[in-house]
Amino acid sequence: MRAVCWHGKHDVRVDNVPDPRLLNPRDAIIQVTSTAICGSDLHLYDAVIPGLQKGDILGHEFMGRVVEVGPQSNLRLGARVVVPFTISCGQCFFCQGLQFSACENSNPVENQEVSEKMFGKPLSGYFGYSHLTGGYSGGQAEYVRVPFSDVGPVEVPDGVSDEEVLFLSDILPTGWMAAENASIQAGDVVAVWGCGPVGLFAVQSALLMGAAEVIAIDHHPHRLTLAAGLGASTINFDEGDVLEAVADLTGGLGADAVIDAVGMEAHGFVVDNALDHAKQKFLPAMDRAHALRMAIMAVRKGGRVSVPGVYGGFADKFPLGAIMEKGLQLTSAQTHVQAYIRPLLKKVLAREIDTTFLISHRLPLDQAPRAYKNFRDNQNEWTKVVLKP
Amino acid sequence: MTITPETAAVLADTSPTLNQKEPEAPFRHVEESLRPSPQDPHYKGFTFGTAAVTIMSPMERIWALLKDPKSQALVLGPRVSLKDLGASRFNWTLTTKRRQISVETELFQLEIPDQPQMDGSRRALMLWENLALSSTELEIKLQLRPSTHAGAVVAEALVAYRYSFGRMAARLATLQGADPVAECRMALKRLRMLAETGEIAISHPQPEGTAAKYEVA
Repeated sequence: MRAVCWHGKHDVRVDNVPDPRLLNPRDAIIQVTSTAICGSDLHLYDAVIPGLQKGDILGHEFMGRVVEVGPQSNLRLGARVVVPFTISCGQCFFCQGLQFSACENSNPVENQEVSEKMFGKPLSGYFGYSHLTGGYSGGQAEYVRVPFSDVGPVEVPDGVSDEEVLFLSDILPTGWMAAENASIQAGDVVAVWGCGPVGLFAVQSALLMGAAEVIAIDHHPHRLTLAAGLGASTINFDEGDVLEAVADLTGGLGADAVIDAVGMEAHGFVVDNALDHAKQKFLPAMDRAHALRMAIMAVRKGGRVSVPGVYGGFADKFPLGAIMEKGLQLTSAQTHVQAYIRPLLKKVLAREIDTTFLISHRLPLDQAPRAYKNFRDNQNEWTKVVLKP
Repeated sequence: MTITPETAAVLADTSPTLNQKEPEAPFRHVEESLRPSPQDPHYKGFTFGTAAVTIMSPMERIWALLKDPKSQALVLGPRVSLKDLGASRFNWTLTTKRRQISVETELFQLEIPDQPQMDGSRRALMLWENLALSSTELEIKLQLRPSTHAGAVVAEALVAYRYSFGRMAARLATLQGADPVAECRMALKRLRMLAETGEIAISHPQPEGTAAKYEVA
């Protein structure tokens, strides 16, 4: 089969590789019909996430048809399914508490040592996201093996297009959970850093949850236009002081809740970000937390900070004092997709949420190297890429 | 400035129960029987380590898995092979990049009749001890006990080992990845996987790009 493989920094290729096969009783094999490049895939493309090996198959946003099942899978052959990016057993202490992305049993024991040393506890298994998260092959391929297929994949009806439900695999639940973690109350003003796909879905979710106003912050005009189309006020951080602008829009109080949908590769031209760039280039596992720092400064006293943006290691100049002195609540997590995917599918089917507005490019799988390059370098125009194997 | 009725009610509340929680069930520590102590005749020269996992599965199921040779082989993982010598005796071989370490053990099951019961379930201890002629002195005590979390069982192990060439050899073995404590920790995680999900998570062999070093049938 053909698959998008990582070969080094800014080097992805479409290789011919052996087909996957069932390895465990609860496995299934999915023939991928649509897959997307996620903003967090760019962290792999930029080689700032450790634990990748040459030849690893990328991709954690995908859907397709079930073509093979293990004896303990409950999937129906031929069923059309969306697959969560988190691999979860459904039975461990964390899965039973609906914290699926903290699953204890999905990352093979042999792959747990590094993340256990880095974070104190091992990470769970994710598709196509380095050997820190299990070394599982990803879904930017013609076929993919899905472990614990009785827990993750959700069947979708034939009357709905791939593009309407594909993002249930990651970015829609991630944006939704980011807004939920911000504990939005009616009348709140919510500021969202980053108008990438997760940021845009966070904007949409915050408005659905009753926010009186959502402020979207980015520097790509087209992405800001998409946010404005959802009903957000916008701030272009190239055109002025963001903290002052947020203060003005909130009557000097600060935002009730802030959402950092940027993560470890924040851009900006302030001194702290320039230093972060230098450190990330030479030191492993260093995060550029410029957006998060600004969000913490912009939130009101007693406010909430929600972090769906991916961070992989350590951040310098982190304003811990502001969290304590302002009495902030900070919440973050890899998305517990399995907890959100069914309720969000209902909202998509009821046309309460539109997921297709952010797709800018639809390309065959063979165009993946070009798609990665442009998704990274031309972010204004390339807002979301869907690949067709 | 005016104080709202809600704020006034909070300020007037002198209830002594404010912010007080119901007392939780007492935390249960590792049994004394598992702890090394200077009084232990094997204390000197031994390296000790502990490992524990919480398993969401009935104690009886975990116990049955521990006693089943097929499950034991799965739990020990690819680096440790287990040969059943009969009469509760086993030969363990740990394969590292540079060498193999072999040790023969005998399995004991010890009942702990006097311990208080949290949920009425049977409490017991498994003990693997090396046989006299093994090159490595090894003792693994494994205890199952109810967790403070409902429906959960804690499996905790104490590993004590001493190589015939002394502590330096033990340090060297640890550096080479032949550390019995680390292997025990990994085995307990596999035990949890098997008890909770019925399978051991694996991601290889699977397809990869041009760097793939194996064939997939």
